[in-house]
Amino acid sequence: MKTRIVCMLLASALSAAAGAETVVVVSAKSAVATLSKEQVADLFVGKTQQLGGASAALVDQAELKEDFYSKATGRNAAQIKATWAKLLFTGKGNPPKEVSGNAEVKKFVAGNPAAIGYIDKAAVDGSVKVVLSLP
Amino acid sequence: MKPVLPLLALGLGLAGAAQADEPIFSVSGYGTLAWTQMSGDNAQYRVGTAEPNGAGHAGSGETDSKLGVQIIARPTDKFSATLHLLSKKNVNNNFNPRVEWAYGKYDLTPEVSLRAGRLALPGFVLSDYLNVGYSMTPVRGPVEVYAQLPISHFNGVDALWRTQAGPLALTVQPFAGRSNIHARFSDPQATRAEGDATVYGMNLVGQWDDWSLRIGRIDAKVSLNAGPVDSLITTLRMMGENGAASRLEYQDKHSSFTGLGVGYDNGKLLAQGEYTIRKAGGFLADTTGWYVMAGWRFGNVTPYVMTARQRVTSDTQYGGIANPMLSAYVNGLLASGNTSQKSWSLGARWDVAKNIAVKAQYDRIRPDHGSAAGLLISSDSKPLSSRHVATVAMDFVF
Repeated sequence: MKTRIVCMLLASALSAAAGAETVVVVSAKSAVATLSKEQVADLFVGKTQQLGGASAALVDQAELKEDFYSKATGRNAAQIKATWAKLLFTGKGNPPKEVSGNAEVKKFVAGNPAAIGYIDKAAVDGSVKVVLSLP
Repeated sequence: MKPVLPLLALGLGLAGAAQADEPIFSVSGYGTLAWTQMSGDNAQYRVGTAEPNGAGHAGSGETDSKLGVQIIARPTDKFSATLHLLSKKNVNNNFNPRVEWAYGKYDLTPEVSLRAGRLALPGFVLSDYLNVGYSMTPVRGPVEVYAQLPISHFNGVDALWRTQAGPLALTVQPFAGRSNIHARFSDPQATRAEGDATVYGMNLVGQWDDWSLRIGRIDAKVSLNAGPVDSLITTLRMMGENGAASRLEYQDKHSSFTGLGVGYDNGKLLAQGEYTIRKAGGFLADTTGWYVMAGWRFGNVTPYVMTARQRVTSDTQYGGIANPMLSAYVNGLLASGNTSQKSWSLGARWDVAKNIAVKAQYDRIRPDHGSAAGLLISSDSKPLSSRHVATVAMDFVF
């Protein structure tokens, strides 16, 4: 009986995690088709600053930030903040703009071919294109 | 000049559209509030070469505290102007803010930027953000390495060329310019040294996966004056001791600084080390300095250990001066330049809130290799034994 409950709990935990799939998106107008996890991580920690031949415009979503960085970079938001503080105060990069909610990220990304952000998979629509899934 | 993401270089040609709806001015800042305290009497601990005094037995809130503000203006996609003001304890024993950087940056291509104005002198791994406590794990860059250079910025030009060398994301940075020097010796009177230097050199930073690598070299023509030393040099010349006078004198004297740094950070384990060589050329000693630091992240808490060492490699004796009193003065001066020191440190960084980190660090310092006081300001007649330094700091960015 006990094992059964544990199994059920595990299963529901897993399905909850699967339901919250985060996807990395660019504008539907972007020429970028797919990105590897490493390429996304390099962009969001400031190691590379170009996307599709232009200067990348990064956007963070407050609600998904912690989850996104742990999946994409293996680092927590505080570590990322410290990394960007280095780049910001050396004039070598600017941290992502932070907005709230899927709709705000889509708005930022849709109109700019050099923009990149992340949203819930369920919120994907025709204005954006998925370049990487982070289950 | 290969594009960083070759597969994606399909020429969207809309560089800068990214900033179209961004404000022209942005302001950011950082600071550290810290309390630093050292065991024992008759000595003071300082973290650079400018401060006329440091933290002693009674402790001090001035030693590690600082505040910086940076304003960036981006009038066009390709041009930006940066003003960076810094308030930390200075050579005049106050916190009057100084212009640490003030430069214009022009992006010639996405890979190449040119900068002109007052720029950070890239002497170390941490040079660019040495004052931004929040961006690093320990409380400060270890003094055995970071107190070797009395210059943090220069007025001149540099270039930043970002390229790909095999698996390395490489930044190549040649630079040249001039800088003033304001320093204090570590004698009890904190004798002032003033001068200037023409500097030029090259800085290479490579990143690959979790690894980072830095190689840098600075060459300089240094002129440096300090009252008591100048008088001694004049006397030596009068007495016909031109060899000794030339040995001590700083008039357009060639000096160099070479540094090698390696860092590793996989998200949990972080490690960093630097090895540096200073060829001073005049009354200051030649030194080598190194440190190794390692830490482990447990969620928001990162404990770390560090060991560091500075060693004087030039002769701290000068033989062959006929007059015994002059000989004693010269050798006294050279001996006081023996700043050899080693230290062990233990500490922890705790990311308490968004934008705020709290740190506690303990350092055990010991003068080494025949040095009387290491890098400490000492008024003790006897050589110092080991000392303990405790620091608590709160770092923030905004």
